[in-house]
Amino acid sequence: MSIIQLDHVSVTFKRKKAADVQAVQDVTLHIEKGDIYGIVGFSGAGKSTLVRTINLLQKPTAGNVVVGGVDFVEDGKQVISGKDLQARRRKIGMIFQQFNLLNETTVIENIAFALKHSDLSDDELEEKCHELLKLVDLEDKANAYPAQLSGGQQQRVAIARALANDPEILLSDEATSALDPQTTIQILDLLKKLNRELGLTIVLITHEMDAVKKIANKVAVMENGRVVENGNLRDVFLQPKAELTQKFVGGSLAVVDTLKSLNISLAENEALYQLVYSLNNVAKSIIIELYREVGVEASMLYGNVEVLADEPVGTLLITVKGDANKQKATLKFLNDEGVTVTELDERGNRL
Amino acid sequence: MINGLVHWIAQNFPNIYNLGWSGDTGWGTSILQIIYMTFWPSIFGGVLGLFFGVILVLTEPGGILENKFWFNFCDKLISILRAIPFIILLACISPLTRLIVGTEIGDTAALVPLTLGIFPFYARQVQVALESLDPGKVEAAQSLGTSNWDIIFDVYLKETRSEIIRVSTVSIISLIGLTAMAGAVGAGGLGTTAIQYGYRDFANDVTFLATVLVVIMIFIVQVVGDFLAKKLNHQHR
Repeated sequence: MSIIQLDHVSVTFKRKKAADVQAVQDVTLHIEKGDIYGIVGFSGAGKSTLVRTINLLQKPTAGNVVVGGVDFVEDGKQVISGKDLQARRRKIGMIFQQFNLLNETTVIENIAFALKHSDLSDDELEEKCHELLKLVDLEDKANAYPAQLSGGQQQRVAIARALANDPEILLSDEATSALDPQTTIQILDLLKKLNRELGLTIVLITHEMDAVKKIANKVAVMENGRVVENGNLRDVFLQPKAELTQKFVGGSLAVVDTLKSLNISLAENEALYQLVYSLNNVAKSIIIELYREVGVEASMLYGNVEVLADEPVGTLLITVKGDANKQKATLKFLNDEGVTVTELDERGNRL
Repeated sequence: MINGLVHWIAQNFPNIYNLGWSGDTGWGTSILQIIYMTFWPSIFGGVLGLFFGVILVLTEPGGILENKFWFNFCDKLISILRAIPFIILLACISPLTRLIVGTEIGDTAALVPLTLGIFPFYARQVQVALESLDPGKVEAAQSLGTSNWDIIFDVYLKETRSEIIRVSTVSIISLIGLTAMAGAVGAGGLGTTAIQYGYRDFANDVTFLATVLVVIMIFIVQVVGDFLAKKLNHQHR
């Protein structure tokens, strides 16, 4: 069972003198344990509202929410008691764009605040706080006040605080959006490390496709409160279907643009393929191998390499000359090599 | 030296000298009375004001315990109490005063109207101070699974403590103003000295000295308040 199950979730804000706002509309998302699930979209798309329905900072007006096997919301009605919800929230950490640390308490007190309801003794509590500070590499700042830290350091304190109760899930609401590119990379690396070492499930809300590209394994794209596309990072990234996704992926998928500008016409016995493959798995030169093994001539129209969640992924656009048997043999060879093949027409549409 | 000063006052300002130090009309008595009338209403009014200020913020639309009825009830109550001019409040609650402290005259009787006069003012100020807190901090605390009590004490009150001290200072200064008004109708303190023994007896030197002493008192409150507010603020580097 998925660790986070959102089924047909909607959030409607009622307004007195204007039409109601449908911030989230009929969203169904299932997030598996250990996923880093990216949710991307422009501001106002409903991402933040959606992610808040996972820990009920935002109550959905319709739909079901089940987190870690516990029913939170059924048919738009909260079915978990306030007390139980508090306990469950300790297992769902959350970090924010503005860090939201308590400014009148030191770094270590900020972390201890999260442990207020734990059963730890004072000594254990202090040890736990120091462990957490070590995890985010801020041991020397235990007694500093948040205002004395840089943005990246503050976000690391926020991460330590969010992890204090050993949560299974971490919700990240634009956590890197207020940080510079260098710091963003550090924070994303830290999240990736936590995911790998602690098996933490992470839901990553962002408007930066690069952040998702760097660490997520799955992605959902949101627009006007709806999820317009979701799936494995690779699939969504390399073969985006929705128009918005294509916009987001932007330069990464220049295949269609390239084809349009090339304005090619295929001969009778010619086929156009888009090949997508991991450079880790496919070491050989595909075009040479095709000639050697299958005996077909392939010419390359476009080539690109993207790093998706640490995996270099190559995209090639080739035309292959040969009769039906040769084409069949080509597809078989490519499939055997672990290459994902899509046949396209001259305009870049899938066949 | 003190004897010399007293002698000099007796020579040059007989009105001031004649009031004495410790008798019914004495300066020392008046000073103690004004401190008494400032201290207790600060405590009672402070507790009431904090209580209502917190309730207003918790129950207001979007608050963590959003509740239309209680918000409207407290909001209206505070507004109505604030609308009554203090000098009229003094008179119109005298039955209540008698019920609570058993007398309608003197400095102890003044504690009741002073408390009622200052707490709505303070409650509004506390409300504004608490509302200055970034709602994201409350949200973050909720996401950590903390209780509403934790959020009230560790987030709302602790995070805004410097602002709360600032508004407390303003309120105590306001309260000192109210004690003078109560003094004018006979509650004692420097207000009584200034109005009854000074102004009405055409002893301008008495009025002037009483005013100076009130200003000094306000100045001390302000300096202490500013110091504490600064000391307890870690919002900036």
